[in-house]
Amino acid sequence: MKTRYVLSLLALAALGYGLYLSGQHPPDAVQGEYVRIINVHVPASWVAFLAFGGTLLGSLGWLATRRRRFDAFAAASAEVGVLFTALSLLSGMIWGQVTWGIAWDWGDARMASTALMFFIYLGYMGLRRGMPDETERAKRSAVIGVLGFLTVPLSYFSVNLFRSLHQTQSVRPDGWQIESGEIVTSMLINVAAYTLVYLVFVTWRTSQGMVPADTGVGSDLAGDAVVAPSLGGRDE
Amino acid sequence: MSETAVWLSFVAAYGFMAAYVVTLVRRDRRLKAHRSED
Repeated sequence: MKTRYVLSLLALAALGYGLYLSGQHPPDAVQGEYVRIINVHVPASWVAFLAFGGTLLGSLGWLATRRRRFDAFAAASAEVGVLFTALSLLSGMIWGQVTWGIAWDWGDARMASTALMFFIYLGYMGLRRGMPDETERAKRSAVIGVLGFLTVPLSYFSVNLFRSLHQTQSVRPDGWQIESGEIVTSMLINVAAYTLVYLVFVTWRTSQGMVPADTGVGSDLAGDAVVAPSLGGRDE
Repeated sequence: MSETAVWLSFVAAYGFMAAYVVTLVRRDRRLKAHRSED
């Protein structure tokens, strides 16, 4: 509990500093003011990948040990990952609309693969919501948590594998896509801030998921937005 | 237009995070209420 408070304070301070830097750096020579959206889009995309990596590790952990904490962590991480994937898609659409003149293009490999990743993890959450048996739910969602992770490298490398609308990665081993050091610094501070936010969210949500399932509260790790499907002929 | 797009992105970012914090707090309250019933 104390660790979460310390993490929350750090995350708030980092978010504040990241927001300050986002407004302070100079506009880009090519993108102009729109480059500031990179301070949302890249950190959100990074956290989405990180979160689904967490789901992979939690799923593998559960498959190896059958310990409940791994299952709760995997589900919590998927939920946070879906949140940040939605933010990544939305900020990317806003940026695309003002720079490319189009918010969405199914022909673009990065957009299509990220949407696929989003819907797979949304399905993961729906599956959990619809399965009352705890062990069966953990088993099936662990399998999806492992297989679903294939969409992460697919989304990340899609810009290298298929050349279409979306540019290649902003951060690459061979250098930066952006010329200004101030913009890169601002983006990296925001990446660090969003990572801290992820740690706060995932530890908080994992602790709620550890509540015994028979209480009917907090164990439905799918989130409130997903409603269990009505199964005809079955006693609810 | 440029300012609107930038503002929209940041409002969405902080709005999403704030909304998620609200769901976590509400779930905590439900858990606490459930424990006090026992």
